[in-house]
Amino acid sequence: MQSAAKNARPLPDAWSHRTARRAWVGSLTDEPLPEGARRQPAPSWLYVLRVLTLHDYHARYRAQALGVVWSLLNPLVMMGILSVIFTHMFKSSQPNYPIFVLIGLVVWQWFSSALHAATGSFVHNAEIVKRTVFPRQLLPLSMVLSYGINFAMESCLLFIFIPIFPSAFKLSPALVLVPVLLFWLAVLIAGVSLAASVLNVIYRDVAYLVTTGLTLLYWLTPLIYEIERIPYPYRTVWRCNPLCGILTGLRGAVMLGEWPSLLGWAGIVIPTLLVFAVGWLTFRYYERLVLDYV
Amino acid sequence: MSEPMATIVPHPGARAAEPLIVKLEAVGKAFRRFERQPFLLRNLVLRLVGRAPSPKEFWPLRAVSFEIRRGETVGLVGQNGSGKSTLLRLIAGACFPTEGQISVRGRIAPLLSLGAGFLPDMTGRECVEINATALGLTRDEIRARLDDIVRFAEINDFIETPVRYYSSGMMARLGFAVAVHTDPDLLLVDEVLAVGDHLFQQKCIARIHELRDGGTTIMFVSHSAETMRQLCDRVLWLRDGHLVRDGEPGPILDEYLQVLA
Repeated sequence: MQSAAKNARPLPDAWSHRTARRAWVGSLTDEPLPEGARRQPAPSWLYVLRVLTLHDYHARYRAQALGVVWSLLNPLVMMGILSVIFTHMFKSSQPNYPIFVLIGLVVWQWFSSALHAATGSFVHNAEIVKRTVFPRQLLPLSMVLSYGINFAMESCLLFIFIPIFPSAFKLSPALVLVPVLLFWLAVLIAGVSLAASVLNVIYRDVAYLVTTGLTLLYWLTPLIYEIERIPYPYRTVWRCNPLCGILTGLRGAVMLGEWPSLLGWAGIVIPTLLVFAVGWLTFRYYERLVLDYV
Repeated sequence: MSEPMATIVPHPGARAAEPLIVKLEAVGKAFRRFERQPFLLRNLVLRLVGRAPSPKEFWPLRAVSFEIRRGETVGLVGQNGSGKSTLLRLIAGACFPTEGQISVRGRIAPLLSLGAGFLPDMTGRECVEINATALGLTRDEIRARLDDIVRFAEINDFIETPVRYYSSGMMARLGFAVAVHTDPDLLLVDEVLAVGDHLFQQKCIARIHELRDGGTTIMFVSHSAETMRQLCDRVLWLRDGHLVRDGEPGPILDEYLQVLA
């Protein structure tokens, strides 16, 4: 047996150490690892993220007759209702109100449904969190991405409306901004989701807070109305909401071919980074508690 | 129950020449007891003003130190609640110690519960992909081994079925099959062998023998003294979270069974 063990793959020189406060990789003693030390190759977490994302997306529709059609139907119905209300009753100044509101609705659907799912991700998957070893960030992040797939499909609805509302779309170089703005949107959702997912393990109230917070945010974000309806000085406050900046940017790029101003970019990038940093730090701070309390 | 012995003579093992793979130094793990809601706003406020006692702690594991060298097969014995599962979870990296330091190296395959690491809605294939990747396999390696895993687990056509429809035996078989097909350096098995039928248990034990002969280090929990004698060359006995014996399986198991009787 002794000789057989000698044929085994050599162990890496790098040890992974864990104490209450920190986890690190190094030699067994406190000396630094020598040059060319064998390290344990890291598993490809990106692939795990991919499988988790696709799994979540497919599992959502597994036992449904209409499947993903539901996710397309919802924004269409909302768009119909809101268009009737806002063009006939409240007389929106927006000439292509249906497209204007559809962009708002699909963005909102990504934000709210991903946040909802991520909030419950640890509580609902307690077993996998307790018994397996993987970066726990992947669970809430996979929710953000899997609802991102839904978002992508819902966005395709816009193409259907190009022939119906030709004046609502503008083919312009500003369209290259769309992926950039969507990247910031994803970062924003990820930041909020990371924080909500860990906090919900410790305070189950967070799930209710998220629901209430989302309702509030729904009305405080220019989703179904134009930001121009908000008088100064409140409009400045509104503009601090990164969702507001992203929406304005997206609508400008798709409908008018406009580039956001420098102030517009600041209103997107600064609050988004702030939200993500707070979310990430919250996650890191509570991550270990989650492993014990979930 | 008697006080745990103060000193444990570390077991030199038959493999003193082999490199170390696991090292625990004075490791302890504390949990809260959740007797009262620790995070309830009222209790948080009471604690801030010093009117409430701080939450009681419970130590499933305390002051545990040992070293394991490559190629050892170590059995963990102890009654329910003696800290065996917590110890395996700590070594696997599924949680952090409250005291002391844990050091491990190499590829670790933890089998911590029935169907470890499976979300109920996942198909068998998705479970294999996620778990095998987490254990360090690349996509190509997974593709190459999927058939072997399915054959070993005797899952056959059910690989595309969500695991929530699996029987507990199927879950245990799939979990075990993935773990043993990843060439681990260290295999951690927590009582999952108890679920399968006799035939599958024999197959698992044969496979563990095979891995052991190939140089894999194995730590496992079992309530079957017979399996222990068959497989282990070292036994750790945990009692109330303390390591009370560390050494040759024969005498320790005899003593353990005597205490139980």
